Amino acid sequence: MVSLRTPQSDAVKVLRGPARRRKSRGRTNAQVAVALAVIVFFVLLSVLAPLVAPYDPNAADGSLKYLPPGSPGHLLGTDEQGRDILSRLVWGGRTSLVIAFISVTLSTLLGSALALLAGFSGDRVSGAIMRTIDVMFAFPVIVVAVALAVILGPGTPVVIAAIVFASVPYVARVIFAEVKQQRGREYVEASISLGAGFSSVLFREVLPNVIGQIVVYGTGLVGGMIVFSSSLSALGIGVQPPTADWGRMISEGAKVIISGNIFVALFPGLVVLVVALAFNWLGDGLRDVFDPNKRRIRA
Amino acid sequence: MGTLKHVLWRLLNVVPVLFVVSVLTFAIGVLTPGDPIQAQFARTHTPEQVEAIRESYGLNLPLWQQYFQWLASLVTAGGGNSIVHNAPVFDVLLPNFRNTLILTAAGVAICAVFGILIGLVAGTSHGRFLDRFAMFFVQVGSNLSVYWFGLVLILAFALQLKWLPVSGMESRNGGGFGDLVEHLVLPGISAALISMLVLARFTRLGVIQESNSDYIRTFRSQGVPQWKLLGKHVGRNILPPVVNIIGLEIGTLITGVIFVESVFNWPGIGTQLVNAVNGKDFPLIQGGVVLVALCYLLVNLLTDVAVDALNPRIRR
Repeated sequence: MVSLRTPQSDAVKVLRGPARRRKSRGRTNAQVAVALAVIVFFVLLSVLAPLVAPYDPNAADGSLKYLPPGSPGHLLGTDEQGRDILSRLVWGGRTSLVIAFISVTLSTLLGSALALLAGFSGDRVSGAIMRTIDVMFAFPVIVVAVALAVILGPGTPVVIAAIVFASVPYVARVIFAEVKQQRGREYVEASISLGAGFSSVLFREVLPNVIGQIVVYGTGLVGGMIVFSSSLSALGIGVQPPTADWGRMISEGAKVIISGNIFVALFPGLVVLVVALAFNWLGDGLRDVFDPNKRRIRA
Repeated sequence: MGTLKHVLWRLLNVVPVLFVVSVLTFAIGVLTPGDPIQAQFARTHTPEQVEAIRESYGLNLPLWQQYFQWLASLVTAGGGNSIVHNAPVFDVLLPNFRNTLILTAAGVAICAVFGILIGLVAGTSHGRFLDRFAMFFVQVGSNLSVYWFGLVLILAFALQLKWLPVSGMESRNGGGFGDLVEHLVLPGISAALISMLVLARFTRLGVIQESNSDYIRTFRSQGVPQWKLLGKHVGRNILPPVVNIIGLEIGTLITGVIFVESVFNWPGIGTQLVNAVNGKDFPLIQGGVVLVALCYLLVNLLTDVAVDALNPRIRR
């Protein structure tokens, strides 16, 4: 499941001397490179799915059930309906990645907008916004997802809406803290005293200074949201069959795991893990770039 | 006296949250499209009878009246009638809710014990192999899908090693407390995983920060043994934030529990709620939302009080 509290460095780097610093920077760069490579690889696979996937992801063939990985023509084997697992993974990437990108983009936009607004308006408006956000915290995510599922009917929109509802408060809180900090800085005062208007201060002065934070936090969210959306789909209130989706594949594989066909569920789970890890690494690396002074100790 | 006042103030703060929660929960019923009454009874009843049933559910009144009626029904009528089960919602939910609470409690216990343990071990060996290893484990674990992790556990410990049962809550021929514990281990670990790792991170960070502080350095230079430093000084200072994180993580844990229930066939409310989605049984969902949200609010309240009580600087 998700824990949105995370994006923060685990590495408490107490930098001592230039050698130590160089070493840690080198590791960060390598980490980002690996993460980017993994992400680009999977994005390309999804974009080029019709060209890359060896079979139609929904082409069932009863005579080819449960082929083990490495079977001729079916590199990763087939599932309970004789569908090619590799092809379903490639097409499933489309569904899973698109859901994650859309929902994270929406929630970072919405959360940041709320944070900027709250940070630059009077006590009343900002109080109202932050209180609303407190109330949003009172709902465990799963409860929101179930409620949305009964209203909208199970499907992709439920997953996106649930993720947005769940992550907006976190984004808003983190960015709000950042905005409030910027607000007290001299450059903001200076531009106000020079006669800059509300929107000009907000968008031309403050936004450029918090955009790094926003990007970092958003990137960190993507991994968790891929995991979360896969779990929702596995539960049956997300992506509906026969659409190929990583989460859906896990739950379909779960039904046949007792009979010894473990690969059907194993592969999609591994893919989710690798992609989610890559996004987290990228987020950590980006933070080091955008936010060098927070590299030291962060609670 | 001061503490009591503080608790009362916190309680007062919950009231507006409760109001919003109840309005939003009520809105689920209003917003659910389709006409469940029609769907359920149209085939077997005349239009007049259907209308009478609709009347009996109070679905013809203005919204604000329906809201208060619904609120009253939570207290007096067991949350209204479930459409699919045709019985009071809480009668349907509560037996399973008990099971969900058992699993959640097991999850919280596992999360607290192992989260703090991993954090302490990693924090005290900061920068060394054990720390690196633990943090690698934490990073990988945080990106696992709870659902999939549960499956892997079943595969390894139930199907391959046959140490623990595959699913369910008790063996077919019953069994006492020991049997329940056996059934709790795997789902408990799955549900606790993410929160446990978050807790481990915070504990580790707290230990490292505290250990680098001046007073600890002074004590250490005076020859105070490590265990005493940890137990008496570091432990005391990191306890309030750690308790706070445990409280906050219970929301994540509840979500995990619902996923886990479906993997392990645990007879909790998760399965009921998912089934209710397919049956468009919105009263049942409303009841479930109310139960979970109430518990979550209660836990947050208790956490706040506990943190205040543990923190001598706030104590009045």
